[in-house]
Amino acid sequence: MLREVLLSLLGGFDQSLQLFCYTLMGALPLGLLIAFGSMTRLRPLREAVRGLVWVVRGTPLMLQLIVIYYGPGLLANGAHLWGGGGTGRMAAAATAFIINYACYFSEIYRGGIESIPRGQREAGQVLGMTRSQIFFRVQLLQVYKRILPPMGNEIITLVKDTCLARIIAIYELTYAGQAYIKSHGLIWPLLLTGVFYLLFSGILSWLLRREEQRLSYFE
Amino acid sequence: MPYLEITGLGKRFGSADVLHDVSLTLNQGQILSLIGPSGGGKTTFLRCLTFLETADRGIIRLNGETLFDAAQKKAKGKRPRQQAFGLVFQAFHLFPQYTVLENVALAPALAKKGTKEALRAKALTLIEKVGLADKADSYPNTLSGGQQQRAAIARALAMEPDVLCFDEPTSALDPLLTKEVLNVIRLLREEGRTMIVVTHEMTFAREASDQVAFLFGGTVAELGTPKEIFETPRTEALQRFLQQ
Ligand SMILES: Nc1ncnc2c1ncn2[C@@H]1O[C@H](COP(=O)(O)OP(=O)(O)OP(=O)(O)O)[C@@H](O)[C@H]1O
Ligand SMILES: [Mg+2]
Repeated sequence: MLREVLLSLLGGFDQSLQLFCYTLMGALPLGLLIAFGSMTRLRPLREAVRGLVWVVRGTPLMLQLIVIYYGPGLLANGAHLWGGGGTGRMAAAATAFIINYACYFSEIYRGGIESIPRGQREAGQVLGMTRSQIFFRVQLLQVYKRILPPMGNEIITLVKDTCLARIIAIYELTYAGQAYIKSHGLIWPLLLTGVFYLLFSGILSWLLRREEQRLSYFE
Repeated sequence: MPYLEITGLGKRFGSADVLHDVSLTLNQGQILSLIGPSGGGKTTFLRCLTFLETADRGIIRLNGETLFDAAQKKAKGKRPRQQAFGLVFQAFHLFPQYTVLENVALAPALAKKGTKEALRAKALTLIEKVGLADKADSYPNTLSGGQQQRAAIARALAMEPDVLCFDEPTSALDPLLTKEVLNVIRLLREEGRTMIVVTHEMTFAREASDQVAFLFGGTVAELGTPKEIFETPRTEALQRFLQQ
């Protein structure tokens, strides 16, 4: 029985892990783009981007997930944009998660960029560096160091948020554990999923802490 | 013909006319001390000179070349040659993630001023000159304020500016560290560097500069040798300023 449960939970964990990875791969760069958008001097673009961030951060991820999965189909007369199968559902979930997390990340990026003293940019400028040289060679690592702790928090939250994907029938970790309540009247498989989550977020915390220590040589 | 020639420089922020009409000249190899009351626009002047701010009016000429002319800046539209002027900031602004050596060598490397080895050797020479040979591989947060400021001077020198500007380079330092920074500036003077130093250190201005300018009311209210400025101040404003 334990073997069977473990295999089934591993299958669920695989789905959760996929969603986690897609979200990070998409939301980390997209968030930076959104951050630049929310800081641009072009006022209409800036207002539009800040409006988007406000909407996405102000509504539940679960709601966004449902709208993104079912919305296009309803608009297009029942034709299924995402395709019916597991791949389609995962694509929809990843899209919703990426947009949601990119908006949270963008605020962290923006705070990080704005917290770098103006003197850093000006020092680069009088030394004749170009704007992109200043960003990549002077500011970026300082921003990275500053945003690491809040980013870490969001990433740990993401580990646990992946279980929301069950609402569009993705067979993720929590779902896999809960199934045993109905089918066998067992609770311990669900509790066992907790161990998976703890291990995963524990490893991530450890990696993040190591990264923070690696960067502790400068202030 | 003077080496540096600034004519009618003006800068306003909103309704505040900070620099009204600043004109001065400086010969090559000379050091000009800029003194004046707080809020008088000394920093703003240096920022216009180093193109961190764009002056609204005026002309900046260096060695016969017009580096900036507010009247045609739109027509020309090209970025001024920023490296003509180096700037040492009051608060150093070293790059914290780089060692002293990396701080000094970064900008020349990005500007492709030479091979990696040549730039490294040159950076080390400059670091030695400011007395930080044993700190070349240290990070800024392990240095004293005076050491950081000397590293910042080496960093500015590495881009070989024609004129090196200092904005109150010692006002963030206590007296002992002030001395070591001022000594570096004196050393650079002996090398014949052209420099503009905004300072509250009157002893330094008196002993170490060739020219002293008193910035008051948005203009150069008095310009002269240290002897003229400190011993026979003509305007009442300067007399009052020197008394405190
Ligand atoms: N970016 C800015 N926007 C608006 N006002 C400014 C700006 N920069 C400077 N000022 C104003 O210009 C005036 C001159 O400031 P500046 O810093 O040049 O004086 P300073 O002579 O360097 O003074 P201190 O001796 O205190 O350093 C001040 O009244 C200041 O408030
Ligand atoms: Mg100032």
